[in-house]
Amino acid sequence: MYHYLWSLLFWYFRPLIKWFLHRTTQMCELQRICYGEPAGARRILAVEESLRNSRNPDIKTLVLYLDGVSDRREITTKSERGILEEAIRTVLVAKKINPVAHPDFAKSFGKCVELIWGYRQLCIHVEELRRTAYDADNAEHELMLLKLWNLLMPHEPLEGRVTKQWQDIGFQGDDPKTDFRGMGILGLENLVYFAQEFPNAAKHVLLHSIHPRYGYAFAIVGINLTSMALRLLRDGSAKTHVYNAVKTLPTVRVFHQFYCYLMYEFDRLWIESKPSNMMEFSTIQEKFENSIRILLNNPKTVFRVNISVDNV
Amino acid sequence: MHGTAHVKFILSKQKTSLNKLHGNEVIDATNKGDQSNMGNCIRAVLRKFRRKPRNEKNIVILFVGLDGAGKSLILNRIVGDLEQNVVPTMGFRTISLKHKSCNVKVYDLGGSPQIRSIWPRYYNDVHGLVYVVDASDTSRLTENRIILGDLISHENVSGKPLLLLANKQDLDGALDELDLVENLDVERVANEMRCPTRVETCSCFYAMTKSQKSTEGIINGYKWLLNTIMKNYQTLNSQVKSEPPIRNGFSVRSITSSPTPSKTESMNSDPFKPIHSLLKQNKLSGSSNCVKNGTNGKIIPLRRLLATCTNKTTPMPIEDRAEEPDLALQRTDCDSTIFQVAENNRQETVILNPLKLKPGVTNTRPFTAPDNFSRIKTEVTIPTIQDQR
Repeated sequence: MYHYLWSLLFWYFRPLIKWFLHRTTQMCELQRICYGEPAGARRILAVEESLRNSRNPDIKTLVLYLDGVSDRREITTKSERGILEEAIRTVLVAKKINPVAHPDFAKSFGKCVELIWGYRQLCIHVEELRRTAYDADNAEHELMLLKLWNLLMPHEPLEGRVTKQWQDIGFQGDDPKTDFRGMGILGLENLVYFAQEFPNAAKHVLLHSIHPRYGYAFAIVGINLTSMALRLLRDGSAKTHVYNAVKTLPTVRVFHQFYCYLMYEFDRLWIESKPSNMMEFSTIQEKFENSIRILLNNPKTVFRVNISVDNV
Repeated sequence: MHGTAHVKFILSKQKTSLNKLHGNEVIDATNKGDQSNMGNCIRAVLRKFRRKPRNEKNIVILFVGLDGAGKSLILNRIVGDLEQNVVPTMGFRTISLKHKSCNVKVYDLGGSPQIRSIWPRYYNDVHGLVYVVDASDTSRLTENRIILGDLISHENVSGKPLLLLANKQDLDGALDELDLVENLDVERVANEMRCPTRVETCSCFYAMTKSQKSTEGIINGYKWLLNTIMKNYQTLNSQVKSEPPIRNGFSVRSITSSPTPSKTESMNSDPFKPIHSLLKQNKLSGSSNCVKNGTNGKIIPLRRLLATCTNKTTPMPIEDRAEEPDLALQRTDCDSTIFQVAENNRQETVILNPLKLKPGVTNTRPFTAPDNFSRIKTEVTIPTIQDQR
């Protein structure tokens, strides 16, 4: 009821307010946002909202065009420049902005567009990775799996492809391939990235996971956290982090880093809460997700993995 | 008799009080302007009154099975969630459902070897279990047999209904229910521990042609499980509530007591064996029961149970089979031909207790006993019956 009333008011009064502000400030809404809001998530989120709510036919077609391009994953480092210039030109023409008088606007607006549709493209890309099931016949996948082992257990050679040793790093059975169900190759890539880019943190977490009392299944928790990271990415909660963390076109690397942060922080929460057994995972995970969501609600949030591993 | 009359009296009393309240509501609504507030208030009171007589049942079901068997996905199917991507369950998840007037709570436990040791902590709280097997993975059948055997023979599980789902029928080389029953040795353990068991085949992924059939198994099995639980709710619930030490004594007794029970015991104590169903079963047993050739001929209870079993396994109520003629038809073609030989022998092994055949005896059966169990009583007595009467 209130929601309906609000949207009605919004629909009729927004143009009025915008017209009034345009008259008084001599700037369109996008300009006001780009000049008024601090760079990062706040500006980008505001620009995104403004573009999505726009009733200007040119801007509407621009939004549709950009959606299509990013859904097809056509924004690459090469094509990016052309697409951004096109977008900026459309807005400048539609809003009658003089590019000479407002050189900063084009620049910051371009950045916003890059990140907004880069994020959308990232979602598509990550989703594609998730849909790629782990294939034991694919040499690339197999190599990645072995790499994970070598990164985590450098001093212990693997006895075979199918072995009970996999349980040491927290897989369920003696063949990890079934554990990647649901998250596909994305789960493996996440784990490999974590072990590769943050070797100390990964070892630290792995050591915790084999704790006799508070131990947990490292890989399975990792895959569960991949699912959580994906959930946050899909429903847009992760936008705050992504918009704040990167300055260029977001790639899957951003997602991996976001994941690493989650993994590291989850481990800390797990050890801190001293669970009596692994059955407490779901409650702790829920608690963890809620706290992450609260953090992401603050537009200033950016997650960085600060490795403070004490070498004891 | 006395008990039922008493209950009726209470019910009628409450009805009159409800009527009174209804009357009040009408008067209030006409007299006072503040309708909504008053209405809310009365509605709340009414709801309170209505709740009591219905006596909502809380059912707890446990989903177990090896890792990767498909527990979470099957549960998603039951809930109606079409999400195809499930990650390995870490720990467990809880799902609350409604079935008729019951609140059903489902614990979906993770199946990884690391947490299997924690499963038994949940056994005490549940009314029924679902065991999911990946029927396409023949290499893990031995593991499954051990785990399932351990599960059923756990003191807190014995006697509780068990649904065995042979999942992943969409994959090539998946075992059907008969092979699975044979391989997992389900009959022997289920009979020993008196777990009413049913086996269903299912698959969570829709093949184009048999999309309906694949999920049918899940839904049928789930309904059977809930109905079985509801029919034996009091027995199971008292089992859930009673403390472990009591059941300890009970399980010991079940092992030591003789296979031919004393008269008094056989008449009063077993809720699983209503007498009229035994009569019915005697009539029916010669006709069309499909039986698996029990390899272990020495165990009489097994044979007896087999006598009543349908194409599914063990203690399936006879009435149930009548309800599902199509399912029965699908199997009997092979079953009857293969297993008919055993029928004659089986007939003879059924030891008839003349006392049970007397029609008058039926009244002495505890009224809480489910009239659905055609399973023949062997040795176990359920001590909790005395409390209920």
